[in-house]
Amino acid sequence: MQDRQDSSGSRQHPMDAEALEQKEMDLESALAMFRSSTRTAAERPEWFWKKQHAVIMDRLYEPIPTRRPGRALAWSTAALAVLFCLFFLVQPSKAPAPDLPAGADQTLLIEVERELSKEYPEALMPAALLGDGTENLQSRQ
Amino acid sequence: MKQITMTDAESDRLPSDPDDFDWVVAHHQKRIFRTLLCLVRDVDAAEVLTQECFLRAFRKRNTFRGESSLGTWLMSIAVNLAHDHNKNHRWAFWRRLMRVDSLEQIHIADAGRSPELVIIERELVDAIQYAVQRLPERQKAAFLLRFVEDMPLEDIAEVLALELGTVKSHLHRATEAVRKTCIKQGIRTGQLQSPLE
Repeated sequence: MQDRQDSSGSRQHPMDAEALEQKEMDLESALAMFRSSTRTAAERPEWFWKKQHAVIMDRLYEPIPTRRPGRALAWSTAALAVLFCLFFLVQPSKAPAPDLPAGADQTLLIEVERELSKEYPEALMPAALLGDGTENLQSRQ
Repeated sequence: MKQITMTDAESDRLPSDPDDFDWVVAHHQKRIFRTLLCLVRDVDAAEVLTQECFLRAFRKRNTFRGESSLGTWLMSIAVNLAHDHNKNHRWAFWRRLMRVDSLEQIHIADAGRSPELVIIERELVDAIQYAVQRLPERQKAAFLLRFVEDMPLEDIAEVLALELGTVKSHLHRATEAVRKTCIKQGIRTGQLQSPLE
């Protein structure tokens, strides 16, 4: 039994090794193709390299641009000023009270007085009329 | 003007005279441009960043201590520039996407190959390219330096300012991501295992 397992194992081992070797070759070939295509894509004509070389050499002689500390300060001050102005310009102003027609108070007081002077409230007027009708009937009898 | 030689190119001191810097540019500009192009996916940006890389190298030449090779030092400047560029130009995603087709022209030699084989190879390279562009910055840089520039792991560690173990880990993850993307897109590449050894 043990011998049989050993022999199947020993047969399996070279097959696994071959498969792995094949996979390794596949990988190497895929990466080689990738390398080749990437390198070819980056190829440029000779004039391109000469031009770039010349530009680089020209720029080497340019003075190194120094950062001006005052510029950042000026920009931040300007930005603050703009924000400050916007804050006050956009702030909503208080809405004025609506204009009432002249004598509005007087009219209201007259209305109230008129209502108070009524014998019956307006809502009870039908009941009051019913009462008047009953009184008239009794007086006739 | 100084004569360009390999010994000079790898010397541990940078020339202080712009005229003498000429050979540094001539010797390294193609490699720097290619790496930047891979990292930023924009020809114009790669061109500008290549110029910027050499300018920065010249201005900071006193900080080059010669502990690494000049090429490695220049590459680290380039990778940092690409990183800053990508960080500041996230909005340009769509613009880059529109340019991908022109940039990702597949240049596979098809002499003596069947059209089917050429198409399969193009699909494979496209899938790897797609996967690489979706990797995190560090993983992408490690993958490209290793598999496009053939840089040793120690140099990649210096360029990215990482430990050797971290570089191996990045490469393993990057390779796994590439393999998964290829499988997801139905392209059989074999088992993409990390060939780090």
